[in-house]
Amino acid sequence: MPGDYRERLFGFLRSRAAGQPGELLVEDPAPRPSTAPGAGDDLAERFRAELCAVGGEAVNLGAVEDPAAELGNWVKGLGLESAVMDSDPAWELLSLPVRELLDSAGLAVDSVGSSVTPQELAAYDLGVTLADAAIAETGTIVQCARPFRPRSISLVPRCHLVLVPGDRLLGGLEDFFEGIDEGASWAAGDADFDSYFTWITGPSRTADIEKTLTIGVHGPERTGAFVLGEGVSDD
Amino acid sequence: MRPRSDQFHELSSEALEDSFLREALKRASSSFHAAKTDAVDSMPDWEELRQRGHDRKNRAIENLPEALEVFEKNLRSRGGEVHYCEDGAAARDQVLSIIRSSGGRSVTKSKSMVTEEIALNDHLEAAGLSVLEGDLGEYIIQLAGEHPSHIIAPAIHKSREEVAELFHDHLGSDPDADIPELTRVARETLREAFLGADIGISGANFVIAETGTIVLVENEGNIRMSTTVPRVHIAVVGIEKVLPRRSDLAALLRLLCRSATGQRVTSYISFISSPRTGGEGDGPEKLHVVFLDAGRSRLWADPTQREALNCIRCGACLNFCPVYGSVGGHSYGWVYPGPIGSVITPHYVGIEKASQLPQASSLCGRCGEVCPMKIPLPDMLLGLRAKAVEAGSAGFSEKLSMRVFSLLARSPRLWRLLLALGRPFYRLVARAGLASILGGAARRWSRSRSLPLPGRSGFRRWWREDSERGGE
Ligand code: SF4
Repeated sequence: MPGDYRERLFGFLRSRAAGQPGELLVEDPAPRPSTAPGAGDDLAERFRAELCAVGGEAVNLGAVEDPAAELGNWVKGLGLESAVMDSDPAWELLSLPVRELLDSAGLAVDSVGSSVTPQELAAYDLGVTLADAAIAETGTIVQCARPFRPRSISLVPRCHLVLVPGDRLLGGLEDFFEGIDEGASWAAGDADFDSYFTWITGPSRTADIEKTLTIGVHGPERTGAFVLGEGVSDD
Repeated sequence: MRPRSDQFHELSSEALEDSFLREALKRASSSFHAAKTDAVDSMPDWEELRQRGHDRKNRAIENLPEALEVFEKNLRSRGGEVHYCEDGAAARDQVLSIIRSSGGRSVTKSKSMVTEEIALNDHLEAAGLSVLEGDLGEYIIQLAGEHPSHIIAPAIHKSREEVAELFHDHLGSDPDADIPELTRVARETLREAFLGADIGISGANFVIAETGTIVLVENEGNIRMSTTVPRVHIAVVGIEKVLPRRSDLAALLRLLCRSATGQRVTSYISFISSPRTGGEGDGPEKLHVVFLDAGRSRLWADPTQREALNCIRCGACLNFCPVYGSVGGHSYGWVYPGPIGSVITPHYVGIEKASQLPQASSLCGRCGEVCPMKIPLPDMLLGLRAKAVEAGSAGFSEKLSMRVFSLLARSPRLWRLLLALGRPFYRLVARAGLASILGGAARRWSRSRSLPLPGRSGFRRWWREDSERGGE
């Protein structure tokens, strides 16, 4: 019986544990390393630079003259045929008409709810999502569990396009973990970080054969992240 | 995997004859070195970070029973299940019974040292299940019927040509395929397997007590596949993997990624605390954590060795170890190679089955310096050497030499006399090449090594003369 071993193990461990009762979860705030961006840093620029450094593609749409054209051109450049978007209600809040841009770039676009299967999603060339958070220090996109978004939409299509609302762009790793612990505005509502989330930093990669870097193994081979000048307040 | 760690000498001398292996190890270590050195140089707070990582991990290890209990309670509250297994056999049976009761048939696995440790694949295949390794390196090893030789880069000992031949034989691809083409072939084959799998098996880099979270770090996306697509996700996890709080990950992930591959963070990191939630259409319906003891609680109970459980399997101590760099991972005879392998293997398989491992070190101290968790590996290796002698598993000649050494070391006169006699002899040997005067195993040992020429006078004389000169 596996249950038996639990009792024996805990009995043994308890008889030898060295810590003080109750100290396990005592708060111990993480010091911020000097490499993490802080107040006054240009987060969009740092995010862009970090993501590009690891083979991702990133544009700060807040700093370009014609964001729609910029995004449209990138999508056209991919030379793909189909795209799939989640049904995030926040798409409606954006002034940038993302779906129309995809349409006019010549892609066949479907919007799907969370009940779509990974097998169905694998048939699309491009998965399109909104970031739930992004971390400038590392060029990382965060996707959490959401009722309207399948987890594999950022994984099985060949390419991934993600839009980063300006109010979800964070500085360092500590800002992210503090934000989800304290229920920051971007981590509230139906953004469920307590069940599941994933960090995505650049394209899928491997160096398993002769230590030679190769892009696009199991996940997307291209990851484009576009930071928006606007935010999408969740409240 | 059946341990062969009592055969380090035989295995390593075979490895030393393998010239491709030596080339591959050299290439790998210089690329790992450069990456890690860059990553550490670009982080001025590296030492503070190491201290923090060490402290937070210690906090969990010191409070291990509570940490496991809190983790269990939190994961269960969101619908996950937790099992505890005493040894590899119990863990294999547990995994198999989960698979059986879910009606699953096809398994995809993501790279995990602990499932290597318990030889899970063989067991599942013998039970009639199809098991596919999803990590490219592991997949190559699986096709070749071998075992990983490095904890981060399992197929480091294989050349592009060997991989092309393997893929040609098994998958019918071009025998001259280049690396991008080989990667594409693997992607296609594995993609089909991922989309058809009903069971996904992973390890865990960390589990978080406070939030009941399993943390998985990777670059390829195979772990995301195995933990998103199949109906059931089983994580096999050593009981030592626990951390107190989710916010501890800020430090621990920096330490792990920078030390392992030199990346700031890897391409994907998954944080799983629950099976799929109500509204979600993918993600596993069932989530199981199978905790494995298999010697860990015994190691934990030894305060002089406990810190070995702080290891985050970054591989840095392997990459910077001159012994690993010459003999490769397979020489260590079990799943965990390098300095950390030499420390934990004797605890996990029994010191009598791994008595040679604590000797597989030149005690140069690099491993302790590069370890992001500040694990005092050289001290631990020394401690284990003493244990091996105590346990009577050291050979006769080793016991004798320990005795002679201690006699000499206690008598300065004898010591000086022997040094004075030894110097001219040593110079002769170093000139002639060690291999030319030795026979048997000692000759094999010496073929791949050269001796530095000693100075004409000794250190003591130099010291005396130097002090007389006023130490200029
Ligand atoms: S002992 Fe230290 S350096 Fe070696 S793998 Fe573990 S954490 Fe890394």
